[in-house]
Amino acid sequence: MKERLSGRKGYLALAARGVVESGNGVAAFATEGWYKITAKAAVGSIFGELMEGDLFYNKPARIGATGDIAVPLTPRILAFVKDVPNSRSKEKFDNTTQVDEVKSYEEGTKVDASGSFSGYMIDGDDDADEILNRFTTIIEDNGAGAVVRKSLKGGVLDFFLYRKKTAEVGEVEIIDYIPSYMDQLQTDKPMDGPQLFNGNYTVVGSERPSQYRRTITA
Amino acid sequence: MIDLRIEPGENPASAQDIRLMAGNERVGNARILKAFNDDGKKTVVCEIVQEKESGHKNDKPEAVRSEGRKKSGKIGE
Repeated sequence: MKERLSGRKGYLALAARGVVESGNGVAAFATEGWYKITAKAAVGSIFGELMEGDLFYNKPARIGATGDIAVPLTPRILAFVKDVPNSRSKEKFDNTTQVDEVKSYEEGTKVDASGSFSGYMIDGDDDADEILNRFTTIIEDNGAGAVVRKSLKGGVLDFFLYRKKTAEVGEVEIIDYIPSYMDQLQTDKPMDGPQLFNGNYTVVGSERPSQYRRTITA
Repeated sequence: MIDLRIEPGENPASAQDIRLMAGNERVGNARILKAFNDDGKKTVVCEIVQEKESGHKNDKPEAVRSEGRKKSGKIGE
């Protein structure tokens, strides 16, 4: 019987981008882990059918051709998140005519993907700050004279929505890679009880969102 | 001191194919039950199969064991 995916095995993670690595035909990409392709060699690319922007997992270690460039991604599970609604939709175009008994449609080709996530406000978490910093300037004062000002920032956040997270050899890990812009953040302060937040994201198609299914190997 | 290593077998997606190595030698009596690879951090749950020491009869001198067999043969007759 096929496994029924459980929310308990799913997580939302935010990946940090590392230092870009370039293929030279000799040395393999350095880390056993996730990479995002930023350029493909015109001839003899190791990435095969994958496109610029796609994810790949560097196992077995790949030796990139000259012109193959990728940036390592290190996903960190967001410990403050609770639920992660996620939806996709496509347009439909009415093309019903007078001879149709039932309404007729043409299917749109572009997918609109977005969602939200909710959780609890926490203090002193770099990933939470990465999201919060999209909506507010953060000033940190260590009380000893050092003040750091983090201005409002933008840019794509590399979200990994684990449908099934596993490290067991032979199992298949399932990830929705949803690079997104944050377009809304609600940070409540109730009179009593935990402070809640709710954020909305919109997936950026040009960053190549995908569902990546990876068999775990030894 | 020898460090144990976990190496993939013919089918790297099969835990049973994994080889537990001690230096350059494969640990022959390790049966892998489960294996994990968390971004390169490898872990196995394995069973070390150790045969039970042979019984007391074999520890007796050969002359004694031969006599014993003879005796049982006579009873049978």
